[in-house]
Amino acid sequence: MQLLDDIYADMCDEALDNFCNMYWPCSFRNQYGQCCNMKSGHNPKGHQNSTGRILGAGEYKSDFHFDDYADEWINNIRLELEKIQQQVHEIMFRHQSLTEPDAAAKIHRRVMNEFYRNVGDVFQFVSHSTCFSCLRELPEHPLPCGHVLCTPCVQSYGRQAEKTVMKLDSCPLHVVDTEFVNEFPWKIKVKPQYAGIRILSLDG
Amino acid sequence: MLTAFRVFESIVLEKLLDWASASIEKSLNQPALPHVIIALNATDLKIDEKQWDIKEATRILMSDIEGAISRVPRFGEYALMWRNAGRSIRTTKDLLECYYSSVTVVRIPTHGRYMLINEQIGKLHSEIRQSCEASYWTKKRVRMLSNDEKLQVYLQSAFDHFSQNLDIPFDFVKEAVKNNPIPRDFGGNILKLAIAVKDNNKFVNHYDGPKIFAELSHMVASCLMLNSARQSLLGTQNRWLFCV
Repeated sequence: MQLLDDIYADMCDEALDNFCNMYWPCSFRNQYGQCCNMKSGHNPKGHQNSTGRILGAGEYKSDFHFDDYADEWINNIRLELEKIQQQVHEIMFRHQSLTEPDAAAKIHRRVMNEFYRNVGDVFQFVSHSTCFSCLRELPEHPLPCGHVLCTPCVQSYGRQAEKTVMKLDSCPLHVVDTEFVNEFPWKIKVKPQYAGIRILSLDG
Repeated sequence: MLTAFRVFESIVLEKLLDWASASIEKSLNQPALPHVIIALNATDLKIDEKQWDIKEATRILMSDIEGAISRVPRFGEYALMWRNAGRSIRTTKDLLECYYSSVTVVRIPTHGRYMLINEQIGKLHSEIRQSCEASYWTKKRVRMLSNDEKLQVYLQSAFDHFSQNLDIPFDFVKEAVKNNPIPRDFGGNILKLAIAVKDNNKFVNHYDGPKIFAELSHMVASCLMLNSARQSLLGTQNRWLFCV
């Protein structure tokens, strides 16, 4: 929890704050349409629809504000984190051979699958700039289902097939959809840890 | 005096309103509206002394043109549009304030009293400075302030935008997001996932903020656990458990 308070709480707050200011449209609507101004740019003109037409006068309207929700947001994360820690502990206790990262990865895959099942169509959740599995690293390895994973996630969820080849039995974001389909197990080549990257340039 | 404000009404006011109404629906998420400072040059020296005061000059000109919205049909149309949108427009000043942050009048005297000219120019200058400052703070408050370099980028992209299409409005927030990409840290990544959930969720109510973040909290907490385990921060487990 200390770690959450020290570093991560600020980042989570920032994400929520940014989201509310720049990405959450005003909820006003009338017969001419829906206001699409965000909080940051709402005030001087009032409500406007996507063609720019002024729909009505008034302040930004929303029932979702950073100030109202920030505490609950951090609190929810805190409660979830406690629960997940507990689960990781239990699973490590039952399987003594399991290391902490492996145990955490196992629990994470379950939580993540449930998350994507609950929010919508997992195939829509594709990013080429963020690993949507761990939210930390740059995604480097595309899978046949369209999702892109970072190297640590490939290592967590894959098995070593050869010295520099990992095999993924399923996409960790949606195991059920991908477990027994033709493309899987999917082979991913990883760079050996001590190999550098070289470019051979033949000029002439 | 009478002729002066008639001239103002038919020439200047028309330009101010026509320009503003043409531009106002051509942008979304505009953080601040422009200020108007009207300098009435070569003012007769015989006018009432108190007209050299900015507040007084503004009040008098505004009350002279107060009824323009009912005299000039074109202005009446603009007023009607705003009334339909739910704003109360009683005077021409009310109408101007729909398009501009503020309206100020400064009188500059005709030749003869050079100290007075100097004084009025000083007032004009400080009025410009104050308006700039007001805009600065308005933009800063909503985090849409751009420096010299970024302003150039805005101008450039607005030009690109309108040279391709005159009907689609220019979106300031979209542009701001483009110029300041979401950071590649954990916070930025949460934000990206939150935006993806906002765009693609299948909730009963598509725009349910608390629900989006309630779902996200599971995922985020799990990612935190995973990341701390991966980095094998020694003793983290205990630290996390016992420092609750």
